[in-house]
Amino acid sequence: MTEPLILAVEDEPRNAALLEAILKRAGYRLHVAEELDAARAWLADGSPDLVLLDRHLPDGDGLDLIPLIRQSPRLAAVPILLVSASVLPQDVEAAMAAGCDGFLPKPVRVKPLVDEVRRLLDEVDAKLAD
Amino acid sequence: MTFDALLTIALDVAFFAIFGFALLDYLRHRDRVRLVILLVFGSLTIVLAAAPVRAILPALGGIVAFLTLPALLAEPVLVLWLASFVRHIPRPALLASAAAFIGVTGGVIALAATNAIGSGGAGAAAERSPAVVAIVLALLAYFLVLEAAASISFALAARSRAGASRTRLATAALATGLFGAALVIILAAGVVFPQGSDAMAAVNIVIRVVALLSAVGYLAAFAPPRTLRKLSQQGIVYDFVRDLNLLPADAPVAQIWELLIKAARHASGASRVEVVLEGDTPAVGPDGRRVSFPFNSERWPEGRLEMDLPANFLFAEDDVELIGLLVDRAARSAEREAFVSEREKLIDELQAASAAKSDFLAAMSHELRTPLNAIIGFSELLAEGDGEEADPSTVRSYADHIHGSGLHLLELVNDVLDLARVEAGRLDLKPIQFPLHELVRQTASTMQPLADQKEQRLSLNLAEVNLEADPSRVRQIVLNLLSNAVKFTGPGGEIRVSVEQGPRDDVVITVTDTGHGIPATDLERIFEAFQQADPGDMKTRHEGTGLGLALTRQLVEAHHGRISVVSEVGVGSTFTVRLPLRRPIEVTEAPPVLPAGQASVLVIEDDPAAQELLRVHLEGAGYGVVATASGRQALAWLTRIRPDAVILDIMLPDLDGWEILQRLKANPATRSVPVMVVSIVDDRELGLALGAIDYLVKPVSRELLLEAIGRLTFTTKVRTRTVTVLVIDADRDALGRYRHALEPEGFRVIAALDGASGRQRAVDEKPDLILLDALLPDGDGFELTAELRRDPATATIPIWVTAPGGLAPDLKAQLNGNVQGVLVRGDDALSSLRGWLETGSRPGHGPVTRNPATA
Repeated sequence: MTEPLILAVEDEPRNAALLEAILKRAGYRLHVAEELDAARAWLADGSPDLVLLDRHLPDGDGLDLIPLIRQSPRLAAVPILLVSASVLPQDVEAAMAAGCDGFLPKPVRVKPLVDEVRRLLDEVDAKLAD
Repeated sequence: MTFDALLTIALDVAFFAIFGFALLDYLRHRDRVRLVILLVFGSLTIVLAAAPVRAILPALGGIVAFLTLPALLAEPVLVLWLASFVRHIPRPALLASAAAFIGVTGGVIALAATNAIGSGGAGAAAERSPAVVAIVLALLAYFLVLEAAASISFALAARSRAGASRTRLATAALATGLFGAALVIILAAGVVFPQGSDAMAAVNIVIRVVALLSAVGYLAAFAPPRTLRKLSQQGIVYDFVRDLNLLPADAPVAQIWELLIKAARHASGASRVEVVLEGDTPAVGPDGRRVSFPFNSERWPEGRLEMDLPANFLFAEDDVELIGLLVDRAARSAEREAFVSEREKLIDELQAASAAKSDFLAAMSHELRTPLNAIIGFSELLAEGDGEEADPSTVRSYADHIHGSGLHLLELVNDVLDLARVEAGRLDLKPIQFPLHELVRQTASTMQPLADQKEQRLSLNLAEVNLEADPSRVRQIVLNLLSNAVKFTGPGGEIRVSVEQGPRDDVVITVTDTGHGIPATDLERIFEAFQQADPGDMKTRHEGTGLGLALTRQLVEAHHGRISVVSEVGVGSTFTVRLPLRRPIEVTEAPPVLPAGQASVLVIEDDPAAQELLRVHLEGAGYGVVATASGRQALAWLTRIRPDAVILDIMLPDLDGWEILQRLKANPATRSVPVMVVSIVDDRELGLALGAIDYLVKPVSRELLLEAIGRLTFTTKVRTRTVTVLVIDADRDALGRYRHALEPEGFRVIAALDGASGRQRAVDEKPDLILLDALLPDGDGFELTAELRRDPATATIPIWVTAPGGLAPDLKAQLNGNVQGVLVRGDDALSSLRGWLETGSRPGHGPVTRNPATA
């Protein structure tokens, strides 16, 4: 079995590098998209096991990607974890209402990130096992 | 007694009562209007009194009869005089009416004497000789014309006014018309009906009724009783208060002023009524007077209602009181209104500020978390430091990320500080001249690696432009725009940066990208520091580039520039920054002190080098010079100081020279200051047409400049006082000739027989012109000329050199620039000198000959 594949949508190169460093060490594969358009293009035939989403992207709000994922039969069940610096309660509410499965505020800590990713992936596995 | 007789007596008594009232009214006020009214009534009273007086005191009958005719005939002249108080009637017309009065009176008396006709023209019916018919026709014409003229004058005056005074003047017009008609009827009746007939008796009654009515009309018009005034005033106050109460609660203060003006216009009928909140108002015309009612308000300390009343206006003290009342009421209402609306505005502002603060904190939290994310994350990985992290190159790259994010964080904090500084108005700009294209090139090169990373093409199109600004801030502006362009443009995109000279002494920097673009709805907001309406609205916030654009705009505006953006979603954005090439000149209020004892010149010239050159030339020639690069500054100064001359450039950064010239010449206070244009713009005709006294096209030599300015300051003096000419000549005969030629023309001639005393007199007397003999007993005129030019006290006095037979070219060259001209002795010489003195220009010489009549 290959390592789970994670799509990270993150425009800030350093933050993308951080996600990569943390998650690779935890045993995941990572694909980084710096813009919404790039993410959409990749999702056309890419099949991630989980999506890490940022909100403030050069070409729009990261939440705009959610409908695309949820409406595609192939991707609908992929867990989406929002990692954002927008941490106000109304921001979090908006994210959850849009269909995110989890939320981590920036700055992210190593362990909570890895734990949350693992939890979300385990949930999917449990569902599949049912 | 018949009923007719009783009625006649009753009417007469009523009329006498009115006359008595007018008399008392005049005695109480003693003004010209009331005097003339009294005279009008007086003339009619005499006419009406004739019969009763004759009946009661037959002894006085002769005098009364003698006075009746002139009294009756004087009435229309007096009414016309009265009309001249409310509306301008040409003096010749008034004089002609008086002459007509004398002519007609004389004619009737002469006719009466020859035909032994009784009193009054009406008796003419008895004997209709051609002379009688002629005099009756003349009387008809006399009354018709004068009463009609007076009545029309009143009517026209009424038309141009409002409110009570309109009604009053209309009443006067009606009264005059009625009376005129009555006179015409009585004359016509005299001709048609026989004396003593019933018809004539009826006419007499009618006449008395009409006279009474018009008397009441005049009284109501010109000396209305207090009750009548009060009635009209109460109406005005009532309307005003009602209108005030009808104003909506949030009505702007201007509406209150409008109501006040309307009410005051009604109350006064003034030709001009306006509310002035601050500053001076232009002087009132020659035939009016200005009445001013201060608001007595702390909010508008200078606020006042001003009205221009034509001279001899029908304006009483209680009208003044009334308008004072209206002004007071309006000012209090306006104060309350302004207070309420300001409080509401303040509340709105506070709410907006509070919302902005929340937005700002939310956005700051977001902005700070982004670099902190990398700093905390990578440092955590380093601290855990197992396995892979032990690899030196990985450690190095983690450390780089932490360092880079730290720098980013620092940048953010600095931006916040800058923004706070700008908003507090404490940003210190250190403007210098620098090549903008170089700065942009360097800044772009620092962004090149990032662009390369994203495979973006970065192209520059830079015109060479020198800018006066703070280079570190301009770099910040360019860097912000460029880094945004790189950030918001996808891989393979293109970014173009251009610098070009703008059309209005400014520079245009554009940064164009092929990025995602900005939706039209957000274009307005992107320059605001997190001022979005809804802090939770990501769609509007995600374009926010932190503080960068807000700060950029503030920096641009601190340089008196502008920033704008054009964008299309999916196509790209173009940011355009316009900065003035030169730092705008601060206009200071306090004018410089003009040097005393010297002719002074105000130089308006923006090119520092040209300004300096003019200053050197002028100061070298003994002028006091004040200079500014700003037209606005110059105009501000010229309201306070009065230089002897102004030198004006045309191409100026703030106002162009044409406009300055027009404004100077349009303002009575500055009109007389002579203005000489010195510019590279060669449009002499326009300059002279706009009122310049002279026009020199750059480059201007020192000699040309001094000659022109010498002529200019000289002609200024010619118009204002006696011109003194100092003649330095050893030849007493020559002296006599000059005196003979110049003194009858109003010039004052003083003399010196040698160079030394001539120089002393020049210093002591400060003549307006020196006539200097080229050949003096104690040295030649050239030396003296040079000495006079060196001494600041005499440096600006124009000098003419006189020589017996003209000067050799080399001698002329020696004098060049130091003297106004050379006079070759002879009759022509004197007349050309006179011509020069009168016109202020040198006939047939120099670049300029012009007639001062057009100056």
